[in-house]
Amino acid sequence: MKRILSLALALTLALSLFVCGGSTATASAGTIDPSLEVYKIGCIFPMTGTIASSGEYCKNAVELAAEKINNSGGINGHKVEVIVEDSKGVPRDGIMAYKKLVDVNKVIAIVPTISSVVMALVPEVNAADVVMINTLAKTNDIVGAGPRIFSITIPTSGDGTYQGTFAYEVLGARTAAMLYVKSDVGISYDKFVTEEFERLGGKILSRDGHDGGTTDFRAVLTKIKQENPDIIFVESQYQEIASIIKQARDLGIDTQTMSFSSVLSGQFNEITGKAGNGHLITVSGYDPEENLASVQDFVKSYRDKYGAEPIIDSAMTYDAVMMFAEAIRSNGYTADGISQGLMDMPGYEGATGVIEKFNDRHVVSRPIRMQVHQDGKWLYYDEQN
Amino acid sequence: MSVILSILIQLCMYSILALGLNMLVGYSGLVSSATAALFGIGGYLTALFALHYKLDFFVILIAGGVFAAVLGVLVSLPALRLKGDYFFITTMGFTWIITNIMTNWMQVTRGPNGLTGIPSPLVFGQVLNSRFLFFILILIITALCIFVANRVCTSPFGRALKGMREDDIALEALGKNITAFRVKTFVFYAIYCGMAGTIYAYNMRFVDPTAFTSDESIFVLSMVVLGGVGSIKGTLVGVLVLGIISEGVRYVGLPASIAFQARQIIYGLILVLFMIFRPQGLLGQYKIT
Amino acid sequence: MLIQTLVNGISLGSAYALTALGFAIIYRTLGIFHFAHGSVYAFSAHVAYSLITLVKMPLIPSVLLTMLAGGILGMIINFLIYEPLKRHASSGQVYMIASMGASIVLQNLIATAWGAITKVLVLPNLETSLYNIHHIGSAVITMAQLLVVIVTVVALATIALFSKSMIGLSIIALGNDSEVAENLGMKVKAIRYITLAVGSALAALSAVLVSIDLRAVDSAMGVPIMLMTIIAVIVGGTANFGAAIAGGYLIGLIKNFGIWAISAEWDNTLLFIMLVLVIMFKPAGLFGRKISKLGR
Repeated sequence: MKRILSLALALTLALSLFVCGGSTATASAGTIDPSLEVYKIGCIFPMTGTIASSGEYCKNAVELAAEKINNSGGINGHKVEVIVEDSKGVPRDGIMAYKKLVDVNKVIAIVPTISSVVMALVPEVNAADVVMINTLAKTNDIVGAGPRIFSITIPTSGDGTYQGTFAYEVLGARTAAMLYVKSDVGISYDKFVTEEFERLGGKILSRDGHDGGTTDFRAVLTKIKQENPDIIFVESQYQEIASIIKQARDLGIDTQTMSFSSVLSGQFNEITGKAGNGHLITVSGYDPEENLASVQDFVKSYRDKYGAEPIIDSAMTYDAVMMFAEAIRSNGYTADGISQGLMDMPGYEGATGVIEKFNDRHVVSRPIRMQVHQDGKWLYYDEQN
Repeated sequence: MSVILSILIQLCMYSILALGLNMLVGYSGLVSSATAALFGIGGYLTALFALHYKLDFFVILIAGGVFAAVLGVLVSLPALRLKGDYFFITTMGFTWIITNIMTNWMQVTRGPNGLTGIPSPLVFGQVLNSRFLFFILILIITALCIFVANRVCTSPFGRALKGMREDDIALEALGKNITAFRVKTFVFYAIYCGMAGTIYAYNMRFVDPTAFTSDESIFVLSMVVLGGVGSIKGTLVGVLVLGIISEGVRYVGLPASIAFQARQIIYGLILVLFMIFRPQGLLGQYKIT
Repeated sequence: MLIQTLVNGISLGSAYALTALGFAIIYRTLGIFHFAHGSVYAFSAHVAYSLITLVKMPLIPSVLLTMLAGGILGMIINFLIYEPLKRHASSGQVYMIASMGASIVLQNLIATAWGAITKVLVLPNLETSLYNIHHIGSAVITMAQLLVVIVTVVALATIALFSKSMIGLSIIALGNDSEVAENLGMKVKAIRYITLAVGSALAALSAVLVSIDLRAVDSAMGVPIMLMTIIAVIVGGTANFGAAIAGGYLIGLIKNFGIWAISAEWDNTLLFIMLVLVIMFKPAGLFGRKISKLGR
């Protein structure tokens, strides 16, 4: 009798699970109600053109985020949809993509990348009922750019200045060479690192910009070798930094190098090998090794779904979508509501670690730390010494 | 809807660009890749004037055109004695140089950051905020450009150009100064490009070097070749077809994973297929030699 | 530092010279401004990546297969695009536009097939030996760089020998005067295919060598290559192949020596200005003789 009862119970349980449908990730999950309005988040990434690789990482990330949200019952039962448009990495297409998203798809929340695209969109967003989260554009002009413009990355003035200070005070460098990529970001870093380094009394011996996509740096490195500075700042894109360091070491330059965190992609190790040891980077915002559940969950999910390691572009855009979802969940799907929701958010734990509350200029503050590359791993500098 | 108006304004802008290039290619027989550079000069000049001075829209429009024309003459005088491919490459080189200057002259052009926040145009002292009215204004200007182009083509000057295209040695024997003609057509083309730049600047409210690359020049050339070289109607058809496709491709639903590359491939394929199967363009009577 | 700059210049120049020669062969022989050359280069680099890093094929077979792949692609482009245009007796500008379209299609096909992400070329068995440093006086050079130079020299010598062969002579003859060549009964169509194959194979060779040295391939890598090729060929000279090769080396040297005079970001501007000046005042190129055909 007891056996039959327990069997019946088990069957009933199994049946009810079946009836209720799918697995739910969180305790408070409901299910998506298809009759409700779909909440759309517009994304403007460089899907073609020279920076297409970044676009792919971002698209993967936002789709993963949408999937996660929808698997846990959407936002209050509403399905979330991310619509990704191609900016081709240039402002003009970014603007046209934005117009399409807003006018045709009726999107009110956008996640654009690439500094020049983001800055071109600022006047548009300010003139419309749209809210924007900037994820990767480090240009300083984004700070306080508008009431509905938010930035979850700290601008160049933050970690650029930190680099200058660290080089001078911690490393004792007095002379430096500056290499930067000719984009908003590179130019911005050049400005802030130089300003700080020189303010403290350091001297920049030479300063050279290069186009994105440059692969051969031997000419300028030979010149730098001649000048023999105490440190070389390399403010460029991940591929270029790796190439510069490798070629520098090949040329017999063993000067200390420092850059910002764009270099955090698996390929750095593969290109530089041992040559990359000792390279310093400022990190604020994404550390795949960070011992935080939200970070590790993200890394694992991304890896499982796409079979590759995510990079900072992925983590940031992922968090942007998630934060939008949070704000929509609490304040509803309106531009002002979302803006308020973001402002009111006490903090957020996401793929990029701990994001603190937005300040009154709509920028989060994040701790900045220095990391050093050692045998394929990135270790915190202050934990080394 | 703002996006539709923006697309329409862009089509008008491309019409003016293509008409200018059509004059050069169709009547002078010279293919130029300097379109984007001249276009960009107009755009940047407009941005700078609009941001720093309170000048009237029409003043800027003319100024942009004239400035581009002056630069056009400087470029064209030495390059015009060259033929075919070499003239084309010179214009390509000119475009690259201008792009480089746009990217590196930080003090004036702000380099890769570009110039942002271009205000609404001032038309006869009034600020024109309505995008719809701006579109109407541009439509009128475009119609005027078409009208002027048509008049030039049917004038004695235009007929002489047509003759030059077919057989310039014969024409020279008749005592006409070929180089003077070529310079004049180049100036016409440069003015149109400069004016298109003004429209761009006010439409996008933002100018930066990436909008004015060689690719852009080739895009306009494709419109002219597609529609039919030497034919004004054909040129406008070319503008419509390629303009709508390039912007419209964004709206076509394609499987997500290859959607983005697929759009670019479609655009490239059109160029290739038209060149193979209908090189005289949709409405042209003339093949480039 | 002079020696180091020279070493770097020659290494970089070799890569440009090979690609420029490939382009020049096509341009001189067929009169086609083959804009898709850069994309053939990019395609070849990706094939090399697949063979070396994914399939883990040994170096020499990989290089040869890459050249074959590049050559075949060149012939396919000829078959699909240039031959039909020839049948319609299309003008040079039509070829240019079609070529440009092909370039866009190719670049995006590469991105579709291999993904848009930058890929790292890793040599499983030769890691250490290829990246060894060697010294030439006070200068350093990696084995990979040395390979670029040596293989280029070998390739150029081979081409020089090849130009004395029947096929080679036919190619040169076709470039000299296509009408005469046809009237003499040469298999002109076959020569056209071979020309595209050889030109593309050279670009492919350059692509694989450079990718081994720089270790990175991405779908847009053909664009700067096309730029440099055009400059090399025009500045060097299109009338003969030696001029194009010299042009390639010149660009490599300028890029390395130029840094001592002006800051790195202006080096492309310098090259473009040179391009425009050469075209305006010495259209035959710095090393070319008078152009035999005006208006080509």
